[in-house]
Amino acid sequence: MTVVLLGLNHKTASIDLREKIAFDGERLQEALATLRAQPGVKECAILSTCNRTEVYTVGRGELSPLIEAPAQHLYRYEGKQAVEHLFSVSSGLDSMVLGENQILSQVRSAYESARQAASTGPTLDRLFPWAVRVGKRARSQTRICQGASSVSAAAVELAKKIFGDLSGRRLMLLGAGKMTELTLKLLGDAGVQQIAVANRTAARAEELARQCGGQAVSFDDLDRVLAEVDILIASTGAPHYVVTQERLSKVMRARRYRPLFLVDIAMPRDFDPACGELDNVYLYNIDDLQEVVGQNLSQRHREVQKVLEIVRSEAQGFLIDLDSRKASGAIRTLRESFEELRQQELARYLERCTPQEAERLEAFSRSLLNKLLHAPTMRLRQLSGAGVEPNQLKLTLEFLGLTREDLEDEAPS
Amino acid sequence: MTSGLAALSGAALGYLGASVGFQWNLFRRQEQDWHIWRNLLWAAFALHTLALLLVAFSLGHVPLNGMAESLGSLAWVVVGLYLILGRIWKMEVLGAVAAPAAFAMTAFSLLVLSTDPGLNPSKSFWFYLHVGSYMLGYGAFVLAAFCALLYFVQVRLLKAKKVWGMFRLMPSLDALDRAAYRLILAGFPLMLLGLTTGMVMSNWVFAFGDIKNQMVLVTVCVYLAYLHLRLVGGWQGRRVNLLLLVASACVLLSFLAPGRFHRF
Repeated sequence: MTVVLLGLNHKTASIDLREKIAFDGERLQEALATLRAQPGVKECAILSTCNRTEVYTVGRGELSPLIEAPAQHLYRYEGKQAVEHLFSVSSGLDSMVLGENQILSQVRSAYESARQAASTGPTLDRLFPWAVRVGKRARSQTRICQGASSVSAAAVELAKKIFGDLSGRRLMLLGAGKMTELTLKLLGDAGVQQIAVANRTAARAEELARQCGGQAVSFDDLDRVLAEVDILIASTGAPHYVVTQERLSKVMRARRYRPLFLVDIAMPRDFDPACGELDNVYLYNIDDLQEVVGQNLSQRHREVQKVLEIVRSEAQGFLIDLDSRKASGAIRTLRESFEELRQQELARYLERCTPQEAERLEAFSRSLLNKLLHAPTMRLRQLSGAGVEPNQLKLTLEFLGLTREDLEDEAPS
Repeated sequence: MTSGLAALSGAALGYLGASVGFQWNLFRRQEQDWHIWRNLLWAAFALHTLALLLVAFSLGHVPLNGMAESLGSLAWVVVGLYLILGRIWKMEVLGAVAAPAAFAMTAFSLLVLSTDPGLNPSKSFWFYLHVGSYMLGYGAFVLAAFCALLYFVQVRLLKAKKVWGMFRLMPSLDALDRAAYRLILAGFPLMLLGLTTGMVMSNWVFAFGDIKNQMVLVTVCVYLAYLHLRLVGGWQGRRVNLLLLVASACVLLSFLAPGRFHRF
């Protein structure tokens, strides 16, 4: 039995096809139940995100595909390849935005769903948690997830590099551009609480202030508010500079040169680029932020090789572990047979022993048994790790007169 | 004395190793290995402490006589402060400046001490309190200057919009600004204590003609201006940090300036 993967992702299929094959909530549980009901399938799990749908199965024989899509959009991997693929996915190598973090929780929740549907077993119960660990390792030991990967996140990252902790910092929104909402959410998560909103139309400012729990301020009060805030996101539709260097220079004096972070995402720009030359003013426009994102992503691309090495060595480790676990049934049988013998022999002698002698005899026999069985146990593990099938291990034990009938069922896969 | 100097050489080597390690990390832009160099710095610091104790026992006085001994002690204060505060404030990167500085000071101290072991040690309690509080205060000032230095590096990177690579290893501007401020807040009273004990030693006569004394007065004034702007004026950022660097230059000058009533 081996792990088989059948799936499609953003590289092989368009969104039209992906959305038809996506499983979520009840559909996922139904699909797992259908799959599990197939005679050859022993274990199954489905990883379904907006960028991919992947079905992992463990079983015998040809498994009928659950995904109905033209063959050219599908990929099918088996054994090592399937394991490596899942580890690549959890490391973020297969994501649209390289190294993104969301996939890790998606892999975790795919496993949880499969567990709820009772469709996992000894193999997938080790494979999925292992994949999550690989994802974490890749992120902590390489720079695959370092640096913001979106313009909004880049703005928030820069704000943190200027102000450190953002809780208690004041934010001003000048205009209500399209990027504002996401940036607002990220800044809110980072602790920014006091928000002032200014817009040419007062009604729009009021509305946005209500939405984000901020306070609407008049456009005429801009200088006063600018002297108080720490971060400003400008996205008005004004056809000319709203703030010139001279005007901001006065504001900076009023704010005693406390640092001011300006994010100008308006097109055309709201801030005169010369404003960035002022002391303690950090002005970033949309191009600057995109450049930051581009640099971060190219840095991530340079880490791909290192992550691949981690993925490959972990996949190797996983398969060795899985193989050695196949021997667990044989090992248990061996030990139980000898333990039975030990108990029988002990029973014969214990009747004639004092309690102290009995205790010593018990310890001696256990120690002797452990020593005797150490080498065969290790050998069984080695053989299993080297690819010897459980039934061959069974034959070996049979040859020695140590078999039990349920041996094969006890082997994980 | 020989064993003390051997321990000091070991400490200097440790500082050199940590300096190279920190620079290597900065060059490679990776922070996973900070702890290795920090641990090396801890080991060197322990050796330095041992060296100071051995020197003190063999000479029979606290090693604060003369410039060489004082510089050695100053390096010890700087590294100690970095190891404790750098950890608490999560500013491991400061080691990239603190370790080379500690190496330079220890190496100089070693060079002079090995050729000319300080003579005529002072027996006065006031003398050791005077120099000791100055060295503690100066230790804080040196580390504050390093914070200000990193502040300017960070400002330059932010203004040039090169916010990747080395930029990532740097603490936030606010953290550097506040760290420098706190260090000055701690160092300034120690400097005043050094000044006062100096006055006690000279029977409350302040020799205005002494260049060292003049420089110390200027240094006090610049730090006062810095504290005033921060505390009362609420200033933050580039200008006050520039003032801090000027003050640090004054500290250096007052340390090096010849004094008629001083051993160094």
